Amino acid sequence: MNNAIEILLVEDNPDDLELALFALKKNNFANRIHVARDGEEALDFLFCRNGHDGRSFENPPRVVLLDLKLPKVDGLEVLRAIKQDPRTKAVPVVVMTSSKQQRDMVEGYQLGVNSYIQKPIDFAEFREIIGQLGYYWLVINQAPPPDAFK
Amino acid sequence: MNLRNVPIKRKLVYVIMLTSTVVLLLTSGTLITYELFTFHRTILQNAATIAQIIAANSTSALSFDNEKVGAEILSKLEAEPSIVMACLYKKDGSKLARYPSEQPRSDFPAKPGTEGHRFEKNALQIFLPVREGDAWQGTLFLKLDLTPMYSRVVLYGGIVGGVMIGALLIALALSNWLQKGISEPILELAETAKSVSVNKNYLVRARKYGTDELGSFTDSFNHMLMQIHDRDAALRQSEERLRLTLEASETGTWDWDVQTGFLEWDDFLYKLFGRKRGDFDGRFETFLGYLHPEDRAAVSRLANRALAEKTDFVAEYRVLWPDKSYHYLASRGNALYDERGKAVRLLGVTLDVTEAKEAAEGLSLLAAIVSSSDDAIVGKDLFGTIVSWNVGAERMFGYTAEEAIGSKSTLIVPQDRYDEEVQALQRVQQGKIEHFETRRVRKDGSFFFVSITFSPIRNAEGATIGVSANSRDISDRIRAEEEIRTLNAELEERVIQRTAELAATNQELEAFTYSVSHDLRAPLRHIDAFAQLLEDELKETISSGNRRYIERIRRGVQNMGQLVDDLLNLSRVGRVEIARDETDLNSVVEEVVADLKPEYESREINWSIEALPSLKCDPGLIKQVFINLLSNAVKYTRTRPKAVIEIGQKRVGRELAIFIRDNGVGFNMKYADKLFGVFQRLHRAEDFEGTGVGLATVQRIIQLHEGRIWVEAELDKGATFYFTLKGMHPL
Repeated sequence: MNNAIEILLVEDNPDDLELALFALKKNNFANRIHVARDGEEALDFLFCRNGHDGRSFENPPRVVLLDLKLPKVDGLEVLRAIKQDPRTKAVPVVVMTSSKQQRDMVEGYQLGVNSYIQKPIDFAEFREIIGQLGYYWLVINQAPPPDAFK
Repeated sequence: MNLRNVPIKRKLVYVIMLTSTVVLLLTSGTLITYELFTFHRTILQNAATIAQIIAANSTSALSFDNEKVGAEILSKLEAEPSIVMACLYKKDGSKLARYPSEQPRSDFPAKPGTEGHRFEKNALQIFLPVREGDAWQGTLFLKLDLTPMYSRVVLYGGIVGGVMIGALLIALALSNWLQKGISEPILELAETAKSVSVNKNYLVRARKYGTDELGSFTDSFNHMLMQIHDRDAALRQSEERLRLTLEASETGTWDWDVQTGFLEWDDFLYKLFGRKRGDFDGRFETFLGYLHPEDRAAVSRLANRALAEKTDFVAEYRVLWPDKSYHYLASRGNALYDERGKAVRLLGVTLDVTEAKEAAEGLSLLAAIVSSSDDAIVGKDLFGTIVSWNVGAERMFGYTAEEAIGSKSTLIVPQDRYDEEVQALQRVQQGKIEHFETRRVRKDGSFFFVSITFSPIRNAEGATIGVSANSRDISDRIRAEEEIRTLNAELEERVIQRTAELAATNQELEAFTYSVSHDLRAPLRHIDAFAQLLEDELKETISSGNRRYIERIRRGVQNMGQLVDDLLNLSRVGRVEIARDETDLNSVVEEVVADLKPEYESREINWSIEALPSLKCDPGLIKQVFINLLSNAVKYTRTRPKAVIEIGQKRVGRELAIFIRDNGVGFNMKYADKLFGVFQRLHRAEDFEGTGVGLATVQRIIQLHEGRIWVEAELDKGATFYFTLKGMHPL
């Protein structure tokens, strides 16, 4: 349990990735983070395939931080795949994106996103948000029980 | 009393009585006259005899002048009582002797009269000369009293009178009885005639009393009655027929007495004039007054001419009814003339010919329409033979009426349309109206398109006797339709093309804004983040100048981010479909004021919010309007120690406008038109921050709601923004 992954961070942009990791680190959530650099990687990880065969559906990440603009399979497709499969459906997904495009928000919520966050331009604000996010999903929120992943 | 007017009964009695009286009077008059004459003669003879005797006996007494003898002779007259006086005159005229002697001398004539007799009143006087031989001795005078004799005559007359009266009474009784035989049948006839004339009963018959002339007269009279009855019945019948005919034909009759000028109308004529009995005073002028002013002179002239030339009176005229409607009437009449040939009456009949008139007008109008129609109107019989051909047909098909009439309709039907023509004709014969578009061929062989209507021509019994074909040349229309079709097809293609282009552009735009929203913000975030990280790293060693640079970098990033957000918002407003939800503007305003709170927390702002209407609009967009306008008001009152922001409604013409008034810095109205343009700012960025996109967005939203926005401002005094929205009216 202890070395289980708690956060799956899906981010293609290296700057964003660095800043996100920086912010998580500053908020003491740096351990047990798995980074996926595109949608395909994220899905391979979540569906325990292509190099992630050793993982099991019973041990999903506590939260998925999902960017929307991703190479190969974009963020909303990833979200759809997660939320349409009963084995991954219960995994909390937080969309983190630059824009607050109405279209994306509507679709994201229709697909069952658990939270939708626009990355603010002000980095201090971003850090703050990341801190609150980690605290909420990893500390406050009760993770779904194993039966939720069947 | 005129004898003529005396009843016949009395007339008969008069005749009989008059006759009897005359006869009796003549008879008794003759009798009495004869008696009187005889009587006179007898008396005279007696008296003359006595006088002769006395005279003969007296000669000696006279010649001897012996008075005594004379008296003695005269005294012998006592035997004759009728002789009342006697006297003997001597030659010298003196009296010798008198009788009666005691009678005074003076009673006797003084001198002897001339010889002869003389009748006096109730007396007869005689003077007779007394002679001896031829010698005249003297004169004898005798006077006889006739009274007793006249008494006899009177008695005689009385008897005659009595007999006469008796005879007359008998005659009266007889005549009374006899006249009945004559007068009764006559009276009966008179009575019958009277009853016939009073009761108009021609069925009574006079009683016949005998076979005399009266009897045959009665027969003739009864026969005449019978004939009169028959004729009367016939007359009644024909009168009834006439009345029914007049009534059925709605004919009014009139009778104009030319001499009195009185014009009499029957009930129906009143109806024809739209008037009630009694409305018309019978004057010819009044009658003329009822006519259309244009017809009066003509009718008057026609009437006078009919009278003068002894022709029929025939006139048509319009009558103005009291309800102001005009009716066409036709009158026809004849005059009656007296024995000198002078017209005494003009009488005749009048008919309402309005319908006929209108029908005739309608017919001539129809004929005019047919002949003047641009359409070809062709009549065909049931065998398809052309029977009528109007001018339009001549123009359209190139055949004259002479050429076309009598030909088969195949003259103008192209061969490939024969079947269509035959089928259409069959359907029309079944009473249907056929409408179709087809081709026709002209005389010169050219083809053209027509729109045709086949309608059945029916006779009065409703049987179809032919077909009316109404054709209109639609070549132009067909050509135009062809062109329109081509144009439409082209247009459609162009639209499809353009739509595709637009869709592509739109997609590009969308993709562009999508990537802008992501990709323009991401670097900004990175710049800000790394600038901050840099600042953090250099925390201890950084100079205050460098720190300011970093701050300037970060502020630029913030501004840029805001600008990106605003532009994205503006472009989104242009693309979204607006919602129409019932929205309470007051709650929107309250929400916005609350949202803006962080911006004015430290300031003193007096918010004055009036009641605002509720209307159908896009709540999200309207909220953006208020966000922009109210945040502007907050922003531009920043320099005021005491800001006043009013939100309310105001009637502007027929519209209701919402206004947002502030007592901020305002602006010069000459720049007002720039205010709503994108990136247009009236203030320096260092005084009041802003992207110059907000009011452009507001205007866009207001325009989407089919409203308008305008502003009133004064530099340093404040600004008032007004806007209207569709469906927002004064309460």
